[in-house]
Amino acid sequence: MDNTRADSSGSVAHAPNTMQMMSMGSASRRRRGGRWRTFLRNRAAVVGLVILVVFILAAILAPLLTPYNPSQQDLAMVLQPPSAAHWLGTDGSGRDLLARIMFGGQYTLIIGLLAVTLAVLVGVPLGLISGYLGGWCDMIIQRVTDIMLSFNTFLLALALVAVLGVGPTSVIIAVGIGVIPQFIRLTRGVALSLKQRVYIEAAESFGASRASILWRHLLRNAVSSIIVYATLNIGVAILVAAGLGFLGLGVQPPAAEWGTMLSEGSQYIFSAPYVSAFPGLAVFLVVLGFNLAGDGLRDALDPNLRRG
Amino acid sequence: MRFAKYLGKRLIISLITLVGVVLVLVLMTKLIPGDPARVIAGLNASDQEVARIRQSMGLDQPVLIQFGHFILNLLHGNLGTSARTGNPVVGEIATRLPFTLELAICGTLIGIVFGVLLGVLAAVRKGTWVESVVSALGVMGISMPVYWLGLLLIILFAVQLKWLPVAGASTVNSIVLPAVAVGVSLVAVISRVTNSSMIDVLGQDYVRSVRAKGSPERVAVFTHALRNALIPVITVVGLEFGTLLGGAVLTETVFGWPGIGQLAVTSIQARDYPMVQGIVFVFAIMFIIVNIITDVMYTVVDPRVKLHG
Repeated sequence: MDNTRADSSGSVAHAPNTMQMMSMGSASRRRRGGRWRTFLRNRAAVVGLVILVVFILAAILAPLLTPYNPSQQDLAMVLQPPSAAHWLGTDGSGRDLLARIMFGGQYTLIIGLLAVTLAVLVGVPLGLISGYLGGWCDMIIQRVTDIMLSFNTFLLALALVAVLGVGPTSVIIAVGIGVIPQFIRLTRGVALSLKQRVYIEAAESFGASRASILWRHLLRNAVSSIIVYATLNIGVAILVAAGLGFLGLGVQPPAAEWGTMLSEGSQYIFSAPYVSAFPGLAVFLVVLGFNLAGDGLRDALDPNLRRG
Repeated sequence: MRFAKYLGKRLIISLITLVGVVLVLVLMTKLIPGDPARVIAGLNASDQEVARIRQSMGLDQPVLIQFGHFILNLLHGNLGTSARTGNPVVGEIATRLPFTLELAICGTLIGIVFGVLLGVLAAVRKGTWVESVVSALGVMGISMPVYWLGLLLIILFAVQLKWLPVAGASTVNSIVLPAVAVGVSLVAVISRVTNSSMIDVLGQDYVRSVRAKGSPERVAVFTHALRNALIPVITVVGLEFGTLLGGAVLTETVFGWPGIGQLAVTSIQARDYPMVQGIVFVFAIMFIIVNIITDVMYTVVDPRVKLHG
């Protein structure tokens, strides 16, 4: 949002001399330890991390943790309320809701992770090039970013799904493209603020190539901000992907995707509200986990980067 | 004069962005896997029929010609014909747009009123449990899926308590639950921004002077600090308007609210490309207009803001 305020942590403000190089290894380890301690002192961030670890483990270990098959219909057990046998109850086809939420976590987490990876791989180089090179290159990239930002992430993903069709791959591409402008703006801001620094000018005067400056100096200084932004945007990507699923434009039934499950459950809102309430709670908790952990990472890694 | 020049520059940039949006929309039909004309004509249509539809929609033309046609039609207030209903796209959007505008305006008002109140409350009670609760509500609000919140509101207020209608837009009360669902994430974002902005302003010398001369705290907070603290809030309303529109698409589906968001979803499912193009274009225009308005509002709230094109 306020990417123009995004800045590096400023930890590498000068080119190191030989003496500094010798103590660099231990200093960097100390810094990492300090950041980790700052993160762990933040109670909200730890809560976020715990939520994420629980959901990630539940998704990975789902086949071992639940005796139920998430796709196995059991018409004798339709719309059972939560009980000892079915902790979260069963859905309209008699499938165990807890099993479906655990297996569905695999879709949700993978889609969120891959969409943001796509956005980082495309958005970060474009943002750095745009900020560092400036001129017509910056102008073109910024106008395209403006156009993309005139839709929000969800509307852009929605429009792209209209073109790409439904299914997991389309959702990953559509959500990934929807998030790209955020990373372009972020890294452009970092490149703009860093390119005036003395050590970049020094590197240029020693004949360092543009590619080397982009890779060795700008990208390395942007890494903290990128990690923070990526964590927060995985939450956004999950919300958008589940939203597409809810509209019937994402992962298709009978797959156990949380947005799709929420949509299927909404028809039983009068008789069995828990069928839609639990998948929604799962989306909420995971996004909350990414937001809390992302805020904690921001405070630990890059206090200059503030979100509205 | 300076203001008129700024506004002119801002309008030209917005116009360029809109032309870019049109180009993207036209390019999208080229990227569609399969043949839109075949989809519109139906599986049993003859090749001649498909060719006729392709020709009538201009899909057989190069991208630049299609782009030119789109712009030319647009200047005549024409966004094409719906492939699903055969009605003009502009007419269908015009019928449903007031519902979406009503939802967006009510959601924005809820966001501003409650967001600013909570943000101010957290700032004046800095370091107490009040700030912790507002902060927790803020992060929960931005993590809340709007479609889930909508269902929870229906379960509680419509099904259990029977205070408000479940869905539709038939009564005056019908807007309440959808507007709350759309407004909650804005409340969360605005309360966070107002909180940090108020803390910043309350620490400034001029507020300290107001307190030192013996003015009541509410005068210092509401008369002197809030006006300056609202500037970042205006930016956020502009930037978050897109999120609000995205939320409106989902909320309209949950509550059966007959706006253009619901129309967008139906049109995407039916592969009604002319309608999807028209709706996306209208969303882009709404977002751009709101951002121009927020830019102009800076100067009203804070005359010190320098205007740069």
